[in-house]
Amino acid sequence: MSSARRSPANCVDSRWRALFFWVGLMVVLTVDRLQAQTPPQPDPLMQLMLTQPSIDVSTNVEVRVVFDPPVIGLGEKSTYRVTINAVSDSIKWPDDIYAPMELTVRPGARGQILQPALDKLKPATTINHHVTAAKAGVFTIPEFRVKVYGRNLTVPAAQLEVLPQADPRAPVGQRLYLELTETNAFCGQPIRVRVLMPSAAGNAIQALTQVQINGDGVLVDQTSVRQRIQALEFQGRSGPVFIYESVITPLVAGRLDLSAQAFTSGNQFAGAITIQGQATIMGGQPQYVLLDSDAVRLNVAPLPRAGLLPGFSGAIGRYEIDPPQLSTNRLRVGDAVKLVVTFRTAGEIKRINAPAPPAVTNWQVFPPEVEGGPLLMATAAGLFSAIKYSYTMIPLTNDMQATPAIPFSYFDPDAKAYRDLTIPAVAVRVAAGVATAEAQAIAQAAAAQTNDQRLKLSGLATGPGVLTTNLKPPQLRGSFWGWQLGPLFGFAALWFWDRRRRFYEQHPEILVRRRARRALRRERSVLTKTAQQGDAVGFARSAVMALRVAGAPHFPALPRALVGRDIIELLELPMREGRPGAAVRQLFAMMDDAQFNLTPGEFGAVLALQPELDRILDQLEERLR
Amino acid sequence: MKSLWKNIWSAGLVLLGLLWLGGRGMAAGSDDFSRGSAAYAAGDYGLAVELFAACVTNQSSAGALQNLGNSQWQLGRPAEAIIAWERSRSADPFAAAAENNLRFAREVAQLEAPDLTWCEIAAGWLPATWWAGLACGSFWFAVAFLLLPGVFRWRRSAGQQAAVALGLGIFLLVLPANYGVWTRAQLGFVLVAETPLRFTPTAAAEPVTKLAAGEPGRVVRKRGKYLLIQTRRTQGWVERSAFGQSF
Repeated sequence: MSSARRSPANCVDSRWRALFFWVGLMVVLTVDRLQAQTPPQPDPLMQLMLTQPSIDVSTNVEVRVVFDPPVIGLGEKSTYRVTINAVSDSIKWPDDIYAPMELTVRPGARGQILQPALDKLKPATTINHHVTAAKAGVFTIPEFRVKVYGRNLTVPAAQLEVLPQADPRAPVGQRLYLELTETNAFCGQPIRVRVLMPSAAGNAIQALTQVQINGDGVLVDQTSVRQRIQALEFQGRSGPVFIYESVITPLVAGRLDLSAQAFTSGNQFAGAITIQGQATIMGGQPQYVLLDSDAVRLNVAPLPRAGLLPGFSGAIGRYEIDPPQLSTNRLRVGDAVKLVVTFRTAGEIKRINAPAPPAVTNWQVFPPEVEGGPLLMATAAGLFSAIKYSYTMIPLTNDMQATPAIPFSYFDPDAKAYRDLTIPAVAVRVAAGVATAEAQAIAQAAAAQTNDQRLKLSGLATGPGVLTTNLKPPQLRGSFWGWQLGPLFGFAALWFWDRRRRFYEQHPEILVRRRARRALRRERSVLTKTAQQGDAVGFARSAVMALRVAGAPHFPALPRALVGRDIIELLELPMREGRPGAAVRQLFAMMDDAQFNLTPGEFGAVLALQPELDRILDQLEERLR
Repeated sequence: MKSLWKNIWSAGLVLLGLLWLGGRGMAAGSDDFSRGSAAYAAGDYGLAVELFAACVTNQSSAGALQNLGNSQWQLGRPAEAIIAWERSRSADPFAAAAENNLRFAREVAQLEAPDLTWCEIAAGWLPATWWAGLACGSFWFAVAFLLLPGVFRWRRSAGQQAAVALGLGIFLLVLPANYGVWTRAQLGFVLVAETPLRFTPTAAAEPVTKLAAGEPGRVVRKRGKYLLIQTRRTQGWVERSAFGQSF
């Protein structure tokens, strides 16, 4: 039907529609794909990393071993130096190296340097050991294996010749020397250190790179590094010496062992350098050789607690201040004035912390700001490092005649005492004016906060307060655990009692028998008593009672309901028909007679039954167990 | 019956005697306390220390310990003062004065506060003696509600189970604080200024460092007349006489 109705125009329409649909779909897909292919914005950090030359870890790993120097005199020191062209972290170096017993081998420095080679950086790791010999001879450290990049690498053997006496013509091994301006210092005291490298043969000097001060508990100030080459007499030799200077700050008290290490870098200087005097600088490609120094001991003492002065902010050394400069000494209430203070010292000024503004209520004092940077000042007394701090102050009342003094103190390590260097008050004239409401509010809030924060020793307690019998907490006393035994035993007793009670509830016959045994014992004692007294009636009554009591637990009846036959049934067969049975019958008959007959018979013969009765009662008692 | 009355009479007499003795002791302690306060006010801190120390010996109290600490501080004995305040705070953590004085002393003498674990901090929320009472009280309370209904054949109820859960819950909650009290007992303070902290427990041993009076430490081990203590930074041996523990 539908095809019959389809006209040619309709057919063309539907074809166009289909064409538009497919073209549209393709356009959408193409645009989407094009969008997907748009490269992402490059990450600048990644770009920077990619521009760096890669580290070469694919070259064959090689190892070089030397003794520096290879010939030493007895008592001299040589460096056993192993260089591997691999990244330091990939080398699994043994803790101990096998060496002849005449040699003492101590671990030294370890360092890694990256040398540019074409488009890559070649890593080289050097490991030093210090070797001394106990006697002369030729000694060999044999070859051994280390793991590099997870594979075994053989470190070849190396030979050291030890002469009985040092040969003055033999080449001297290159090494570093570490010098400290102080070997006894205080925590936080800046100490200047010098790393020196004398020139090699022919007075040729080279630069040092990657200089490190090794040791725990010190902070090395990299910003105060200075390098220079200076001609001086050092270690008995005169010639140029490369000097690297820095400042360290010990952070912990105790004995600190410090050493220095660095790579030689030929004529490639890192940073600015001063050359004083004549020096021959080595040319050609630099040889990156790791050098290190002997350890130097630094004894660090904590700062004394006694004599601490207000305003101490950690400054150690010798400081001076210039008279403080006020921008103006005529001002109005609410006007800001700047107080500039210059601190001077012959040592390091960078580590000084300016004193905090004083807590006063009639001045608003802002925290100090550094004016410029550290300065080098020449005075008649010599060269000083100096730094300027400025305090902005706003007077809040007009009765002020001077700026507030700012407490400051420092520790003098030579005198081992704290010194007061309070910034003095400067005279001002404050005219009447109006401090802004904001400034007043800030000042009041600051004053209130300062007063709140300032701790004071409390007054005495007016009364004893909480009483304690013993300062030692109870759980630390042995008696406490003893006391715990009370409830423990109490609860345990209750538990046992309950268990027992429940048991008897399930087995009541045990209790019945026990009671019967007790009652039987009572009756037997009465029986014995009456027999001794010759009371025949009482004897017969007790005997019957005893027989009933002993027999009752075997019947669901009260003792007084039992008759002679019941008792006889409990006896063993021979006894039933023998004299015991007869005795029982006789006793019950007598009691019936006594109870129901108006003229009871004679009871005298009953006492003669006692032996039989005892046998019967023994047997019955046995059955009760 | 006669003997029963006789026993009651004797017990009453003994009780009265004990009460009288206790009251006398309290009165003596109270007398020392007021005399100590007067001596402190007059500036005679040495006498104040003696009187407050006697007060603490007779009947220890948070107030007497606090005042003893104040007197020791005025005499320039920061370590003894800190120990007294620590004890006062342990006896009554709700009183702010001892806490304030400790902060004050540590700020003035440039001393560090002991490095406390979270258990030890929790132990300081209540008087040290309370934690033991809470632990054993809640434990036996739970045990009682677990055991007694069965023994006395009470009808089982949700209330009993809730009581057991409550008791056990409190017991488990106070266990860390009890542990904190126990570990806090290992804390102490250096009594003598410049006390050497040695490598080994001998007088000839090399000192690692020197400790200031009032410096906190934690006793790790004891050997002879030496204690191995752990300070915030290092470990070493000090003489027992130079180190005072809080408890």
